[in-house]
Amino acid sequence: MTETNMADKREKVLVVIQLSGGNDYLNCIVPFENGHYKDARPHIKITDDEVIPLDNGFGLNPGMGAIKDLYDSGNVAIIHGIGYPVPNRSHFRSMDIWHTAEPAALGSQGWLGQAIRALDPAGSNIVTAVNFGNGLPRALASPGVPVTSVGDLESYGLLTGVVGERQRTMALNAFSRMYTPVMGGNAVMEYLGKTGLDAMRGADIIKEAPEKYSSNVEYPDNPFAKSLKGVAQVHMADLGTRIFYTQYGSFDTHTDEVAVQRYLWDDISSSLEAFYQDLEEHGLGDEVTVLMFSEFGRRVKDNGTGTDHGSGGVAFVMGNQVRGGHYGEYPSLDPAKLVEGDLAYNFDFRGLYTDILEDWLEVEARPIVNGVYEKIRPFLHV
Amino acid sequence: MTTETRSKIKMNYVDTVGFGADIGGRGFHLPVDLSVRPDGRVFVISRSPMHRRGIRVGICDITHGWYGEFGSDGDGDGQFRSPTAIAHGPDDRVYVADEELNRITVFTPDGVFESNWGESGSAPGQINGPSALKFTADGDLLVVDHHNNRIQKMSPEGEYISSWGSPGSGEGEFNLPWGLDLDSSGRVYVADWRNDRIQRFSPDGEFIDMFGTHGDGEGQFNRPSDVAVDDGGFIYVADWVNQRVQVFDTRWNFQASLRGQATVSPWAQEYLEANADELDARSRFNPYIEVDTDVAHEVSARVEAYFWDPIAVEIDPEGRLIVADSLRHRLQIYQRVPK
Amino acid sequence: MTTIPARADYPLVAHLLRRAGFGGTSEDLRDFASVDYEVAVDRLLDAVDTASLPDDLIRRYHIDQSDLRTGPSAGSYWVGRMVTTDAPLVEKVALFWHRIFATAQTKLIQGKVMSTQIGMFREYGLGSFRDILVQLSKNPAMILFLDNQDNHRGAINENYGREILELFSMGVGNYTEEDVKECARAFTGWTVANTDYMAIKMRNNTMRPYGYIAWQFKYDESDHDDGEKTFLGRTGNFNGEDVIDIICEQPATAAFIARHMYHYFVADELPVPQWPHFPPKDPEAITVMTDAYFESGYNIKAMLRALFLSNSFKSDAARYARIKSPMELIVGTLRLAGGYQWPSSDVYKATAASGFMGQALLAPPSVEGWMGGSDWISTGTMVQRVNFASGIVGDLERPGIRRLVDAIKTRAAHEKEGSTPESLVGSCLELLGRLDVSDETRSDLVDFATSGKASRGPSDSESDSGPGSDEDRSIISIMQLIVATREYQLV
Repeated sequence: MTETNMADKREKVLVVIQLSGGNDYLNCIVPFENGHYKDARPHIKITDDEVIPLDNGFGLNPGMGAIKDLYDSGNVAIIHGIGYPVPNRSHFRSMDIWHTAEPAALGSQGWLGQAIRALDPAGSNIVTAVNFGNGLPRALASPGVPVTSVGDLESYGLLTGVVGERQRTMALNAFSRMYTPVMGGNAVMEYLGKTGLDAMRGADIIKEAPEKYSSNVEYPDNPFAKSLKGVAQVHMADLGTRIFYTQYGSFDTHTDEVAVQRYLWDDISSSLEAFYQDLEEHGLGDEVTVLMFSEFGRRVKDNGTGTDHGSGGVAFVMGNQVRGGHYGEYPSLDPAKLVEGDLAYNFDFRGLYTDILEDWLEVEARPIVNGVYEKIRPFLHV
Repeated sequence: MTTETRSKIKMNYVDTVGFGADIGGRGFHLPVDLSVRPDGRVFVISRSPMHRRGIRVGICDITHGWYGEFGSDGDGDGQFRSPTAIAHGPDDRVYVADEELNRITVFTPDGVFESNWGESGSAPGQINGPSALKFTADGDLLVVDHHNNRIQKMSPEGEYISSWGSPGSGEGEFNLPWGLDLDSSGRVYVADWRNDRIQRFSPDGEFIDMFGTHGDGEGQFNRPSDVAVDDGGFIYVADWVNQRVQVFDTRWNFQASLRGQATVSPWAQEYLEANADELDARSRFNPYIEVDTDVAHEVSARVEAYFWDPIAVEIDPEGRLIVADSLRHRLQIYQRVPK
Repeated sequence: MTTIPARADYPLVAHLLRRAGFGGTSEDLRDFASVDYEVAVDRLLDAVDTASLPDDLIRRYHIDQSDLRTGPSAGSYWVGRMVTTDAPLVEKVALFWHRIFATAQTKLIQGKVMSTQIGMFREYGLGSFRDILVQLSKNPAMILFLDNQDNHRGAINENYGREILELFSMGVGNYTEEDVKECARAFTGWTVANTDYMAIKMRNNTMRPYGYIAWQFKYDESDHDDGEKTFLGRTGNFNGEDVIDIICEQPATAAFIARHMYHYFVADELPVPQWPHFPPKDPEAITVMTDAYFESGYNIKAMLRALFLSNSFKSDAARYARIKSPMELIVGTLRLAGGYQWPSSDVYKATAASGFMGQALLAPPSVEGWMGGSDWISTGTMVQRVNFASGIVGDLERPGIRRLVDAIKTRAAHEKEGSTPESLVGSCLELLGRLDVSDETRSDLVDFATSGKASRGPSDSESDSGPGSDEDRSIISIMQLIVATREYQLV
């Protein structure tokens, strides 16, 4: 029971998984009994004996076995037909739209960056948001909002190139003195000083996580599992992190789609399985919700060995607090109902963002998504 | 003069095989070399640095059959970092050279890893940047040792036999040699890349003659990357910077210059049919536009049908010329009209 | 050895090399300090690149830098040029125009046409502003970036017509909405060959089936509106070039470009959108440049020359007055480290690092380019900046670093009193491009050097001290800390 008590103190945490490159919706949530599907995918259809049957005439990609188990436990919400008006087929631009929740104009602020500001207006916790990966996804960017971006948790820190542990400790001490603002310094030096010290403080906090962590769960050996394990470690270290971000791919399956999409989903679902076991082992499953999305779905008709950029996709919300099942409708595959050869999206992603912002992170959604959008209410408590 | 009155050969365009596939799968991405098996299967090295599955060997034939691929980015067994050259051994095994790892990897005929060998360095038997591989009729392997400016003869297991060449621009000297081929009598032709010439050697490495000067005229080269010789003794040179393939008879009499004239392959056609908007726009596409530059590389960038960095040339068992059109991810195929 | 004239002003020369280039090695400093300042300025302005690697060598070993399809390939090609060139101002000016005429590979999808645009900046960037605008208007990357292929006779698309006035020449407040429309009309028919197919490949983000096709400018006379137009008070049957002639005559154009130059070469200005509402920081510097603009017939080199010779530029107040852009930080550090006489995969890491630091080359976030200034600095980018620079400087295998360490050791050996932590720190600062640091920073560095010396003893295990001798490592760690200072973040 102590673990449960420990968990009681925890605030709700969001883990965002970006499926980079455009995850093919049709071969992910497979309408394998649909004649239009078979017609459109003569070369790359998932066959009846490969598909993992789900329900309602749908099946899952053969790589998604572990996700099927989570689904069967009632913890996976499948959000059909997600997209935005005037679909854009550029990876970069479409991803940018998802990141900024701004399909029409060029947005500069990330939706999660704004959520972080709402969660921690004073920026008092440097690790409110942690990204696993290099650089900063636009979704987390917002002026003045601190975000820690971790390439490799084990080696994360400042001045990592200084050889020798003692030498590095001394260098870090010197760094901290050098960046401490002095009286009468100018504004630029002061800003550099504060930011440098914040960066150092963030690194100090983060590096505790692997030290504190212990678990009986074995994660699979792939780069995505490494990121998810990092998420688990930081979450369990109780550093006040509310938003985790990571990505995997590339789902850009113009060629060799059947093999590539399957191995990617294999990596993701086996990693998620370990991640959930790890959370359960520590009694922390209830505090974590996972959102998985991709920048677009792909063309309905295959091109011989793969599919090209399209629109209308699928997203997932997962966790103990999620009411599993299908949300929304699979857009029609009837060639007459397609838009320029693509699925017609029927649910605006900003509605899903609204669910998550209001009912999970408990911040005001409207100023972040710039409007009011239909929600789907995937959480048990709503 | 007899050479003047001789009629030149004619090269007929046959077909284009290929499709840009940067994450692996049917097609190529930045192909750098190919080898044709006696049964006509074509093994093509793709050297795409952007994806771990982009670096691999794909297997196809010139009638658009696709037979899978092997290898990926990495330094493990059967993986490649910077693959440069491929050859089939007399035992049907496949040999692939990696210029970054300085090793030769041996695969079974189906692409299953078997072994590898190679030691970095400049001593006899060591290699620094292997850039081309070819087997002699006796079953020895010729390796172009690019950075060591020499050709080494090795056993298929990597034992040193002999070598020739040194840095320089004189006879038998090299400046970063790249491709090579043998003719039916075993003479060796080397694309002496940065000397802008082709050198010819006896089977034992004795210098015979050389041909070519720097330039873009007939019989001139700008960084020739590969050479192939057909059964009739005709010599095909991938004139890399000049974006063309030049053909010579065995006495170096200029025969033809090919600029490339690619067409839409069935793989490409299938792609276009899945993308109706592109198919429609392409129906109004003029591939041979007038361009406002004389720089051949830039012309090729703007005219899709032309060769863009033609990097490797091979002759198939039917005597057809296969050109690896590297930046366009395809093979262009030509047939010499017999005289 | 060259005699150094008594008038040599090392700090000023170091300032000039940081601003008109990417900083200098101690050899560069001595070279440039051995001549009059004015001669040094002209040498930088007139330099012609002789040191960059030839394309055939780059393409031989990095085939992706031949088709330049992706951002990383095209960006790395440019980073390679910046790191190796002996005409650094040419690259710095290309970067200047890239920030103003911000065109992004992220929309165009192919990096090749972006590289071609940067090559145009290299060729024309220091010449006549009129030529630059004409080239820019015919530049296929710009045409598709601002949708001018959709700007038709009888159905104008204002995008390019507006931005050439607002962002590329005059700035808001110096023209009317009517002028925008008339300007757009003048540019109708300025498109690319095979417009439809090129545009759809871009829209579908596809290189298939056979790679990208680089775009070719095309003037489509049948789609050009040859009617009478009234633009900035003039009336005529203007075409694009005529409009550019009128733009170039405007004092607002001279002032706008001059202010950008000040912002880039002298001191961080207000963000561009605020310029219409606030006067320039240093009106005198602007006047010096606008006079040069008109006297020289719109010549950029003349403006820069006037700027570099002005008191505004030379003054102490301008020293370290800007936050280094990621490219300045990266390229400056790599040039110190050296070792790029052969194609190197280092450039890819540097290109990626610039993205992590917030300046993905060839991919500015919007048509307004990068904001710069304190926008470069966040907790995430600080980690990247510090780790990148200290990682490069910590690598003894790099010939430039080896040379620096050896030079510092030679100096130490010649110290009469033996080397002290103070003299060691002094040597490091001087040889790292004569970096000026505050007294506090200097004393922290000296403390570090002192404790490093004291703590190092025979007990240090080999694995803890890394490659190189103890003395090498100790010099290296001081240099690593120097490039991690706040001062190193400034230029």
